Amino acid sequence: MANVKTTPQDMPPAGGYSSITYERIFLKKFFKRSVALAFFVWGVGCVGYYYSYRFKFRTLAEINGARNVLFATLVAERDRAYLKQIRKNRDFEREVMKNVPNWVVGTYYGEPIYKTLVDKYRREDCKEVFSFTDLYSYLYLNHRYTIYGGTPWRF
Amino acid sequence: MVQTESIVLPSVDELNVNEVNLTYPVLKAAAFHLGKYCEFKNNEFMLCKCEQSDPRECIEEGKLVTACTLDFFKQLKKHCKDEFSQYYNCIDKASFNYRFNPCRKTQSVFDKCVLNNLNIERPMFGYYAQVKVHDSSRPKPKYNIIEFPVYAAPVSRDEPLLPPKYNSRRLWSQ
Repeated sequence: MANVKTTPQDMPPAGGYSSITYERIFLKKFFKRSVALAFFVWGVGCVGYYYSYRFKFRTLAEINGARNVLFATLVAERDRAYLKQIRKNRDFEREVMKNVPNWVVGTYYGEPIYKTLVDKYRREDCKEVFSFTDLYSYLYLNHRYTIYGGTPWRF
Repeated sequence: MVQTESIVLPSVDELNVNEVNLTYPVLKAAAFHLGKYCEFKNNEFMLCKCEQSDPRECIEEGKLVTACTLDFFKQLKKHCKDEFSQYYNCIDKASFNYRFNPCRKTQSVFDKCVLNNLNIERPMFGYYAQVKVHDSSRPKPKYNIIEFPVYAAPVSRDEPLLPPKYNSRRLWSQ
């Protein structure tokens, strides 16, 4: 029996077996916990900003539509008031300056205010229109930007 | 003042018409249907305003706009008074700056009434912000386009110097 040849016996690899891993292996961490929280807050903020922007845009677009419609009505009324007022101003000037010699209405002693627009209609400035009205109507129409947040009145 | 005696201004009787004596929330509440009802007249008036820089040219169109607005509000008063007053009260009191958002329920009631009685449907969202083509029978305005010569006429040295046309511009050079 001593001469019978057999295959070599299984032996441990050279250097011995590696050690058995009995500890728990965690998944790889991409962020720290604080960084992940910051990204989450940023994302929620972006979504909230988008929805609030859309809400505001739609609200203001609807209001602008209503204002576009009313613009014609309001401007028609305003133009009539403006024409009445400049006629009043001219009558008042004629009445006040009738005793002044060489005074011509609408000019400074015959010298036209605008040299190239002699005897031509010119749109009046706001202060000229409100010269002979009460102070508070002028203040309301021109300084309501500072009081109520509207836009000043322009012709 | 700027207006001289030779400038023709319209008389007061010509300018006195029945004005629309309504506050802003009432006008705003009816704005969308009003825009449909008076669309052509509003467009005519705004076209006139864009073409002419003179408010005396567009008085007649403006009177038509005011008359149309008054007519619309009279019809509203006749047919949908309760619904409309409910709606503009909501717009007036629900928010500090007259927003449409808090008043959708009263708005739907009002819309239904206007659709049934005046046969005007509320236009789609953003209708009045769109660019639209307006077919008008108004004649095209004549613009005075000044034509300048290509080059100035030659001046000889013998001609006398004229006084400056627009005061002295050459204050430092002279």
